[in-house]
Amino acid sequence: MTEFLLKISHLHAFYGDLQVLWEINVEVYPHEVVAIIGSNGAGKTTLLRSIAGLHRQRHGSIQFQKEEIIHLPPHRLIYLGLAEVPDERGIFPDLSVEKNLLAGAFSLKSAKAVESALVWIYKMFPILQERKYFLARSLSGGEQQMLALGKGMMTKPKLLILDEPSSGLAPVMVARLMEYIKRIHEEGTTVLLVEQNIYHALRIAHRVYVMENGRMVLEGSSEELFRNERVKKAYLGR
Amino acid sequence: MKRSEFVILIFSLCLIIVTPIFFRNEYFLHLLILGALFAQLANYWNLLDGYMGLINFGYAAYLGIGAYTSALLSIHLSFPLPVCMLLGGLSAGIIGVLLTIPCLRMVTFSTAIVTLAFAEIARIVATSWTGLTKGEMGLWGIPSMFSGQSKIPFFYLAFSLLFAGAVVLRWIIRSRLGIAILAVREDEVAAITSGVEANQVKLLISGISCFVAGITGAFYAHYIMTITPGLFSIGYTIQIMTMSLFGGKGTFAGPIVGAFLLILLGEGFRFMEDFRLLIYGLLIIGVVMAFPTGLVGAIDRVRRILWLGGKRE
Amino acid sequence: MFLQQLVNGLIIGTMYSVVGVGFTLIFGIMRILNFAYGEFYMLASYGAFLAYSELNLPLWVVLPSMMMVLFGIGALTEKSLLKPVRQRTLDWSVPIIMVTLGLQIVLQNLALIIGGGTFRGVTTYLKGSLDLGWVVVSYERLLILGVSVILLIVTYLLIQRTKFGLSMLAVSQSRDGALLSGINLQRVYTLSFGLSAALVAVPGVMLMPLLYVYPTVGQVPIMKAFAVTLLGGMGNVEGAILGGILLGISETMASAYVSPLMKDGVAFAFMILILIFYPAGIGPYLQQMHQKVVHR
Repeated sequence: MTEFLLKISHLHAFYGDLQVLWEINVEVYPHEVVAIIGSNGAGKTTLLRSIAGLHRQRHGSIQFQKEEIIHLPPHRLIYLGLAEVPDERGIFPDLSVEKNLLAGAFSLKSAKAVESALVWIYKMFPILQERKYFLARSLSGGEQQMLALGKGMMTKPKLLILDEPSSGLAPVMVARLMEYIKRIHEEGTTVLLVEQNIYHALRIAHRVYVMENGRMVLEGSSEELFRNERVKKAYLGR
Repeated sequence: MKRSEFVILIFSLCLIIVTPIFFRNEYFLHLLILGALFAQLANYWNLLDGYMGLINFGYAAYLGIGAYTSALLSIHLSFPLPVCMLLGGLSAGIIGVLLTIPCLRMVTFSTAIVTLAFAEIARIVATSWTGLTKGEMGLWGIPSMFSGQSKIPFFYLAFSLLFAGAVVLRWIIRSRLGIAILAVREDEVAAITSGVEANQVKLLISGISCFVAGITGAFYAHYIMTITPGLFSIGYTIQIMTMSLFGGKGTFAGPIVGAFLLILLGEGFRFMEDFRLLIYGLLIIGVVMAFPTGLVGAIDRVRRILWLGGKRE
Repeated sequence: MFLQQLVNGLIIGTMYSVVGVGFTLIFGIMRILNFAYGEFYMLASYGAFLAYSELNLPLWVVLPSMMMVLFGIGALTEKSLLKPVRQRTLDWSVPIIMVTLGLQIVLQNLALIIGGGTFRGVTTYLKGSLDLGWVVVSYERLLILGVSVILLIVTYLLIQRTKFGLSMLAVSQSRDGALLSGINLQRVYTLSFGLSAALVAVPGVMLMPLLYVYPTVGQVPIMKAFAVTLLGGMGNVEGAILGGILLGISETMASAYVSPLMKDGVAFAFMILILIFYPAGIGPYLQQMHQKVVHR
């Protein structure tokens, strides 16, 4: 059994007096793609925000590479190799594409590293290079998602966490996006993504967790879940 | 109305009725009257800002408008006082609504500064238009509401107004209008699509809030009998805001508690004349740092802790 | 005469821009109004008076040292007074504004108690003037102009070209995005609060001959700060720069052609007029134009 990259144990989260997450246990191993699926309001975004430390009313354990990170301030995570793209994309609307990417590289120490990261991202996402000087707010939905991905990858993180990357995108764009995520994975990054688009999530992921009303209700490989009757009925409409 | 609230209400009513009988000290009564006036202002500023979400950094201007209108009407046209006061309130209310119209299109903090600017302009006008307002020196010789020297009738009237105002406020908050207010504040677009006339609600609340400020200003004019353009200054607005926020923005009892507390504390330090404001400022810093959500909110939390296992309200 | 007023207005306007930039910066980054901003100006003015008049230090020493002192005061204020409030509640904008209010009262009254109510001042840092025919500009005013322009350029470059500037922009546009990029929010808050105080220290020092020093002098810059921030658009630095100049010119014109007493009133009225046509301030429109020019 290889060592886990990310391990969430007994995580409970609250909004004031209201509990929203119960006993969440998730493991992510290196070089995997893990998906968390569930309908609206299942608590997926709260879970991701809790992992990133953006939502702090929680207790339990979150370990990244054997290190307990639940007490760390959010800005430390990227230095450890954990990058997250939140559901509002986390891009800066009034900054140019290039400046957005540079911001993504904020934690890199040397100018050379930043430079080479920029080159690498532009190669992977040529559209971003084309729109280098455009303000982020003037990009289309799909382009903004590319920017969000590119920005998240500037530091070549060990783990990339994505919150509903397909939201608001046309089906053609979603397919392209999934291709990009696959490429990112092939280049060595482990991916954890939360998705409402169950079909694509199952296709791209190795393992899948299913959340309902703030709890984990099912877990398994994506093939298993594809065949699972409950999942098929509830989410795939067959 | 909950049992506990009812008890507190009866208790405070008795306390208010009984106070002038036992406490003859005119100065103390004066402080309480000021407390009642400011409590009303804090409450209705809270309606505008805390509940409706319409920031207003120039609320004192409506105080001034009500005061000057009523005073001038009573001096020059000799209208009966209740009429003057009502007209004072109405003029403040109407101007409030008119000023809110351009603010509807603006970003919230732009509204903050526009309202501030308006108060400043009003102050400058009051200072410069010496023919009407006697300028910097102020208007004096304003007819008093009650004959005789005693503050007691003022006391009862002030608290009656406060009580009436509080009842109306509570009624508004609990009515469908209250729900509309919160809906607009939380998510205007959603409210509009649900059929709420957001702009009308905002204008209505502005009107009501400014009207009350105007009436309170008028009361002040016929109580103190002298008014100056200083009424429009940001100092009063800040005081009102502080009282509301001190006690707890968005709560019901908060502004009232804040008002009385700050008035009494402010005056309590009178003996250290020079250091009074300094300590006032330090106190604000201290209390806000310790209880950022306001005193009433903090008391609530303490109550919750003490009543562990009791019913959640 | 018209040209003379225009030039004077322009010069004072650049100082207003500096005042505005410091204030709008903090609003953009922290979403608060710093009510003690005027008092930072007052402290710088008093400091400059002491250093220049009593200690006889030259201006080129006084100005940078006051900037550094105020930077320190600003950063210290943020760390000791504002940070605790931020850590106690998620909805900290309003309580922090209140703390700055309390601080304003404290500083103003401290000045009153320690300094006394008298007006202090220096007549001028630099005597003499430049005569260009239809326009006469005092060297004092030219100095003010020079300092403001340099400061505005440096600030602009700081924001647009440095890593720290990038972090400030990032925080002002998306807190989550900034945090996830590895930006230390706390440090940005503290440093920019210090920067804001350092910026307002400059007019505090330079305008001392014109406005004098007294405990309540802080009310002037805070009003200008509000006005310029409003004109420029909340959080918009370029808007504040242009807004300051507009305010300066309109004020000087109002003072000359309407009445010195109504100067402030006219400026405010002018502001409200602009807001009717540009409710979010002129800044966003500047940004649009900027994009059209830079667009490749």
